[in-house]
Amino acid sequence: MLVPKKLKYRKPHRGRMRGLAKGGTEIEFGDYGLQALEASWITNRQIEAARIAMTRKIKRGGKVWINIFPHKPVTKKAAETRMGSGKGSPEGYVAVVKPGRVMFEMSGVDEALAREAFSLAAQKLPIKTRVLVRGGGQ
Amino acid sequence: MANNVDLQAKKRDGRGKNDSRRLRREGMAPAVLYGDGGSTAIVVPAKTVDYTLSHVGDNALYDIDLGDGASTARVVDVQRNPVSGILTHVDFAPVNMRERIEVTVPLHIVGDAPGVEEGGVLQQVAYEIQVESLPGDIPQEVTLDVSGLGMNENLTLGDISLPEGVDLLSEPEDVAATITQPTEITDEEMEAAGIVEEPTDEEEAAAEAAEDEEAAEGEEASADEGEESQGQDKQA
Repeated sequence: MLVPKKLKYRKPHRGRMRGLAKGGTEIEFGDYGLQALEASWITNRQIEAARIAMTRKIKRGGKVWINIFPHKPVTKKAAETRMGSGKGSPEGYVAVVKPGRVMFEMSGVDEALAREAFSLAAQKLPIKTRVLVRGGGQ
Repeated sequence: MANNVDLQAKKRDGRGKNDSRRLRREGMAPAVLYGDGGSTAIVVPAKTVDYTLSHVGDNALYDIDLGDGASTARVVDVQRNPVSGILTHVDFAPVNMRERIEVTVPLHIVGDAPGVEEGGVLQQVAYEIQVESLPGDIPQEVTLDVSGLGMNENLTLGDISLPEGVDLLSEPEDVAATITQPTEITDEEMEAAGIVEEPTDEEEAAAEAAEDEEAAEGEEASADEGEESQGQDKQA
């Protein structure tokens, strides 16, 4: 599972997710891409589940790239804890994804199989997505 | 290269996001035409530029007439909305038809590689190459034949055959296409992710057959045991 090697701060602010993705909005490595259409935090578990879902679908036939990384630690207070008494403890890591971001890429398979694999991967993600094809198709 | 595209461009007086948004609503795109004596803000029909970019390519030449004589230009930068794909802004640079220019040309792979038949994955590493040529000689695309590429072998940019008058500027040693082993997931990774592999229909049928056999053997064994126990009772 994807985890940062070291952190500058253990409990960062949550921040806001306004606007569209500034970079990583086009296919860079593969022939097909899965693009986010909504803003969300994507956990490292979701990234791993999506990766395994699509890798299983394409079996030995292709190559997969993950373009997002869960850099941001998220905290959570323990169950049945009263409010106050400081910030909760780190629970996991998330990637901040904004609309337009190409999260996964794939190559080495035909378009129909790539779409099926991305469809399975999209089911593991908490946002609406669409498939991009290098050369402009959607 | 195809004929130049006649672009109905006009000078743009308004500036800022409000004017730009108004233009985009009307089907136009704000643009800029660079020049020796400074740049000129212009407005161009978004549909024409979009169609030309997708059908002729990024290196198409445009005839732009702003009233002070037509000039030939090409697109050097395009900004789009990443979700809707609408053209946000276009940058044009004037072109001297007698001067060689550096451009980026798309690279396409053709042919069937033997390495793919062996189970490898054909991976195109370079999708664009940098070339130098006269504006009128710029190829719409260049092709690379991979019919002789085996498993774990590479083709470099130097292997691309370019048309006459076109020189390669990218590093000739850079890899253009390669055939690699496919991505695999191990059983350990599957377990770590908490995924239980669902058996296929054949495996299910085989498992059912094995269960039936075990059940039949079990019945026979119990029948034998029953007979033995009856014999022991009689002896007692």
